[in-house]
Amino acid sequence: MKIHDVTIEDNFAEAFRMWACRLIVTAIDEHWLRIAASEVTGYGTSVIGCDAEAGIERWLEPDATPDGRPGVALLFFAFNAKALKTAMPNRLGQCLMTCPTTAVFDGMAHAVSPQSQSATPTQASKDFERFDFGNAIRYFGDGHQKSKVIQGVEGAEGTNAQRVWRIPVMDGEFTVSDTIDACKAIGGGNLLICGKDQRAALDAAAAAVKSIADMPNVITPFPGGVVRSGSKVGSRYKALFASTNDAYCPTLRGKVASQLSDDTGAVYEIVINGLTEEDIARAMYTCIASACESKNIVAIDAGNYGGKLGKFHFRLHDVMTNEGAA
Amino acid sequence: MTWMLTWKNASGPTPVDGSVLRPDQLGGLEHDAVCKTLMTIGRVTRPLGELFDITGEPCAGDPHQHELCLANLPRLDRLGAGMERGKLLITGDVGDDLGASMTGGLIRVNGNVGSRVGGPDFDSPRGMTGGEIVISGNAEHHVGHLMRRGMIIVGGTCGKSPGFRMLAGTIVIACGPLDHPGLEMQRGTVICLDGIGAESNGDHLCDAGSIAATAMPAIGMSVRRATHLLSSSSKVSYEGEACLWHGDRFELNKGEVIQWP
Repeated sequence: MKIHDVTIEDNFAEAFRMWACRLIVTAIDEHWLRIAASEVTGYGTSVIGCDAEAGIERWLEPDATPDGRPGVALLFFAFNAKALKTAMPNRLGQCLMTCPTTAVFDGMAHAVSPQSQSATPTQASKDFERFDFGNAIRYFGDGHQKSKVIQGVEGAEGTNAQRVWRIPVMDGEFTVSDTIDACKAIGGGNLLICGKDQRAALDAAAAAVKSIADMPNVITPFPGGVVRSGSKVGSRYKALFASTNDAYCPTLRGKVASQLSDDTGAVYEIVINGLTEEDIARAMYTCIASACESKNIVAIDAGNYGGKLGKFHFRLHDVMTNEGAA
Repeated sequence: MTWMLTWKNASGPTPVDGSVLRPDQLGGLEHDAVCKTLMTIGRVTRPLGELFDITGEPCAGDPHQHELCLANLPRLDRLGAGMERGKLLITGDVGDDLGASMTGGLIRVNGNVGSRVGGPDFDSPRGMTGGEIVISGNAEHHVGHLMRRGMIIVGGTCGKSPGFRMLAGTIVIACGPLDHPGLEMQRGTVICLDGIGAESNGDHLCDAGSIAATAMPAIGMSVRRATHLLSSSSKVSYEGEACLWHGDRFELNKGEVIQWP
């Protein structure tokens, strides 16, 4: 298959079951909002070494946020709800409560996902888990904290009534949802952009990430959304379970069994985490379509582990033929 | 089901107690059953079909969507008392004890109301524990007496001590001044969208001074919800400084009275 002279390899991306939660963070203005978003999603590239994979889902207009201030929706992924239960209060306390003017709300009820359309996910449902969030850090208020059950307005996030904690801090109050919901999600959708040289591949990757900046329910957790150090399963060193993806390393051509064509000079990977398969397929389609518009791109490939590790497979040809639809 | 009940102004004694007119109890009934439901007037009971013109439209099965619209009423007390869900929409003036001990749903009054909105029903030590009450006009004394949760919004003025002995919850009054707001409150929030007139207000509040509106997003959310219910606008302004008082300092002192800019 070729799109605009770019070869779409007949390969598939292999993705995994993960659990995700969604936060809405608001602040007094865009400057502090960007700082808050950047801090709380920092050190959040891969659960191999970080406590969560985190990223910005999309920016929100003031009218669309629970408190009517400028906001941003963030997604966090981990292997299971228990891992999120530990990671999220830490990120909340260290990165969001400390940041001037922020308020933090549960964004899951309004996530544009078939799983979360019900009014309030119940504890008993196996697709959702609710855990302490603001409730875990309210004691910082040293007895002066207050809570309130507040309902939002239609059309904005936070329409359903939620309990928030109000913790007195030096610039006023830190407002945070009592609990947040985690839902089943998927991590590891990906595409490999093979370019004629490093500049071409890099620019194409950046443009592809930008093309899904406003897409709901997906994030690209790696730096700028792009991974340069794609990995393969296994290593010559017994201690490591993953190592560099030598088949795609341009400087190893001639030394190893390379997947690179002769005119490929560099490869970048975009990893996409999302709430459902439809969300990831839509994002992959948009990224690939964008990369095929970029100059000097040779091929689009995808990373997998033979299909045996992850239960979600995204065949590139299917994604492009269906235009990202299910 | 959406039922519309219009008072016929029939001859005979006028009822005082409107507590039978609940959307969560009448909303699920068929027309005949609604007509046969009895309303107490003094020592006698009369079926609603004799007292009201009753028309209705079916709506989605969700009981939270049941609506009861009342028009042309005499001044009834205890409307919406004990209500759990659904919407009670009243055109005209209402008596005392609106929404007494209600636990959920929405009551909307296009008119004025009497005393103890959202207060306790006669067999309860607590006022409302959930739901929202929206009044376009004025309220009389003790709005939110002993309320425990939920929101009361008054689009006009109110009488003595809104939030009297309130336990928690939120009261928003659009027009000031307020006479001893939050007297004997334990927790809870009384917000005035106008000048409170603090000078005349007695010793029960501790003045915390002024604070930027944007420093209290939870209060902004409450104001936004109140404005949305009163006027459908979903905008809230965080410009300016709010004035904050803690109260009641002779009780738990965890309540607050706020003048929103």
